[in-house]
Amino acid sequence: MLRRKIDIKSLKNRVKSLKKEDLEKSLRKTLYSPYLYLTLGIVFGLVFTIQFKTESVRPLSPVLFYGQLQDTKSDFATKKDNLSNQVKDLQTQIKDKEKSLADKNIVSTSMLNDLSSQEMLFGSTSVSGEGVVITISDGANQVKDELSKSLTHAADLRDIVNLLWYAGAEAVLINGERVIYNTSIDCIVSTILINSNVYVPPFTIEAIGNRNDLSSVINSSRKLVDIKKRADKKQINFDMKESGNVKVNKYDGVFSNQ
Amino acid sequence: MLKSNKTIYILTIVAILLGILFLKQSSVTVKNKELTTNDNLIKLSYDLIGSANSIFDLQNELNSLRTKNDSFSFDIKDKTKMKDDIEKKTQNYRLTNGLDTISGRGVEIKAEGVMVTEEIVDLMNGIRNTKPEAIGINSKRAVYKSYFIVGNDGKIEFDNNKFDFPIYIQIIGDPDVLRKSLDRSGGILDVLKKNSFDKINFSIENKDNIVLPAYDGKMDFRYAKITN
Repeated sequence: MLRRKIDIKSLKNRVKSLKKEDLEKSLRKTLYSPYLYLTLGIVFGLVFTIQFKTESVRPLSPVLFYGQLQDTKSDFATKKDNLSNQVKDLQTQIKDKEKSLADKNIVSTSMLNDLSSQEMLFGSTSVSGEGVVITISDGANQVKDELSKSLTHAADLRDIVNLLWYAGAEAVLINGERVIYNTSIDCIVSTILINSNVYVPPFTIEAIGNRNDLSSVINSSRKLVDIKKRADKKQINFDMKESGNVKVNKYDGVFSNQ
Repeated sequence: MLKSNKTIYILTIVAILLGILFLKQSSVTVKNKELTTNDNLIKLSYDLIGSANSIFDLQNELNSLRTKNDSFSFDIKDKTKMKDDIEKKTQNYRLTNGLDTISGRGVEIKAEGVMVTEEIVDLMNGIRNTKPEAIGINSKRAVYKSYFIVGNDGKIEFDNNKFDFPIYIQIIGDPDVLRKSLDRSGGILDVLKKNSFDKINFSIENKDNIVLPAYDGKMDFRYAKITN
């Protein structure tokens, strides 16, 4: 096998013979050479051109897709608000016209009263009266293995509403959302869907009815046992107050009854 | 020597800038990963579906309200039509509120085994989620203020009625939609059954004509007054 012998001594001498100034000079020469920059420019130019010319067959990143969905969501929200306002305006106009027809004896007052009482039952009229206000929210005391117990669940809200009806409530509102004949309260990942709107804790449940009846049922030790147990352990916050004037807003969603 | 130091400084600054850019990129990547988790995407999808449905419903309602509003000047001359219109509206509300007998196609669920209160509340919520036209238990009409309590005797108290299990829940609406949403894997019936370790069981049957009588409880307001 052939071995190349390196003459260390002569190499050392060669390096020594090179002057520092010469080295700097040659480095400067290379750095300030226009050809270097021309070559670099051409390479970068090519890379950029290729990058921009490349057409992706699918979205490059899920973020792009997510961003587009977010944009659509905000468009939808704006459209929804506009439509809701238009619907409210028209409903007011129609109601005014109906009232004026009654005033002119074109339709009887009793007919309009019937309609009004049905609207009240349905929940399309805001009402107020004595009742209770319940608040429930996630607790600060979160135990690692019992994380689920320190969250407010849709099931908690359902149980409270069910109990309020049992106690004789006449109208119930959750975070401004009126509970009507087909209201469902569902968990969607980390939010709660009521009617068609999404809510997060804290939740305020307002109910109109005999305040003593409502509070005694809610306070009963045999009712809402799980919620109260978690509240005692500070895993969730649960509170109820009686009130002489609870306002329950009308149902704000869509009900085609024309 | 001076020149060489300058080069080192420039290189250091470039390295720091690159480091900052790299850190920024990493934090953006982590943030983006969090944003695009399945949970967030599912939530966003639900939001979008809900919003799209609401927009569709609002548009429909807006159209019918516009027609109604436009027809007012004409209807003033036509008293009969105006009265019919208000009567129809009142009638629709009465049906929805449960004050009149209602009939139609739908499904009937037989719930066997003793359920606890939370389970029956979840079941009724799941049924309401399908937006049916009317619900009844053992042919008694359920309304917006109906409550469901299972007592220690294992009987279900529903408004002022008490029933033993099994109970039969009548739901008026599109049978296909109702069946697909209620009876699918992961649907409310499946979840309740699995969570009870098969202690409760459900069977669902399409019905051509379900008749539900008017609600037989009180529907008056003693404490609530109309307010603006």
